[in-house]
Amino acid sequence: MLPGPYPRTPEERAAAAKKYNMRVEDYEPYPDDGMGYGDYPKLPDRSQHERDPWYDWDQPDLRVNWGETMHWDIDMYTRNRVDTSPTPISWDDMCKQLFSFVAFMMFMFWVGHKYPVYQPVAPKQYPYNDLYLERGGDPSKEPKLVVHYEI
Amino acid sequence: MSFPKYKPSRLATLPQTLDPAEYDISLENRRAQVERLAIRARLKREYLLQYNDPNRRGLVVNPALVRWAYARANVYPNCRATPKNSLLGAVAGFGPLILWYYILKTDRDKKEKLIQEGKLDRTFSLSY
Repeated sequence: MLPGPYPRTPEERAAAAKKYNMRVEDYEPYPDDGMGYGDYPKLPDRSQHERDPWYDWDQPDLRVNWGETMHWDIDMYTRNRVDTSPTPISWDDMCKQLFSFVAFMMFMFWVGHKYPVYQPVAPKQYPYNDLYLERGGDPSKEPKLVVHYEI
Repeated sequence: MSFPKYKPSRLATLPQTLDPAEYDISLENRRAQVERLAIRARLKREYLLQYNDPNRRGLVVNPALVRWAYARANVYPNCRATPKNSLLGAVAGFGPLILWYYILKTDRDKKEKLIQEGKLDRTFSLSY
């Protein structure tokens, strides 16, 4: 028995629920807006991570039983991929903490860039009258006296 | 110590212990659970009969898998053109073309203008 078009009458819904091994009350097809789902049931968007690891599944790697209708996106919700299991704190709190930290650090780096703080430095001082001879100065002439200190 | 309220989201669902439906012991809920368990037991029995059949030689075919694969492969027959669909299709189809046309055109026009004015450094270097 293969999937078919969207069920319109209650009898079609009951037949589809029976086909997919679900209760008629549980069976809820995707809304009929022409996106191509047909009568495939809309199961809760839960990853396979959330399923009981200790239950004796028929397919333990996929945590799925024989004959149990698979989620439309089961290949996304496998245990290698998307995980929707509960987190220690809610998603909003995690987002807030992460983005506030990143924003704060960006702000501090920007402030540090705009107002740099370092040890006081002065221009480099060279001996021998600013290296007069090393820079190719005339040895016969008297160099200009350069003094880097004040008494 | 007060804990902030846990709000479930798409990628972080509510834990079972915080879910009020878990503690629902009304008769209708119990009946629903019993029905679901009955379906699951029947399927389990069918599977185990096939699995442990000594005369079986090949795989135990999972009809749910077949249905899933068929549904995923045959999306087109159940599609029809709705305003939202058509809009989405047009945006996804033509959007990138138009976007990249404008980006590349303006960038290349700017470069061409610089070249005409002789301001662009066009020295050739083979590897760098």
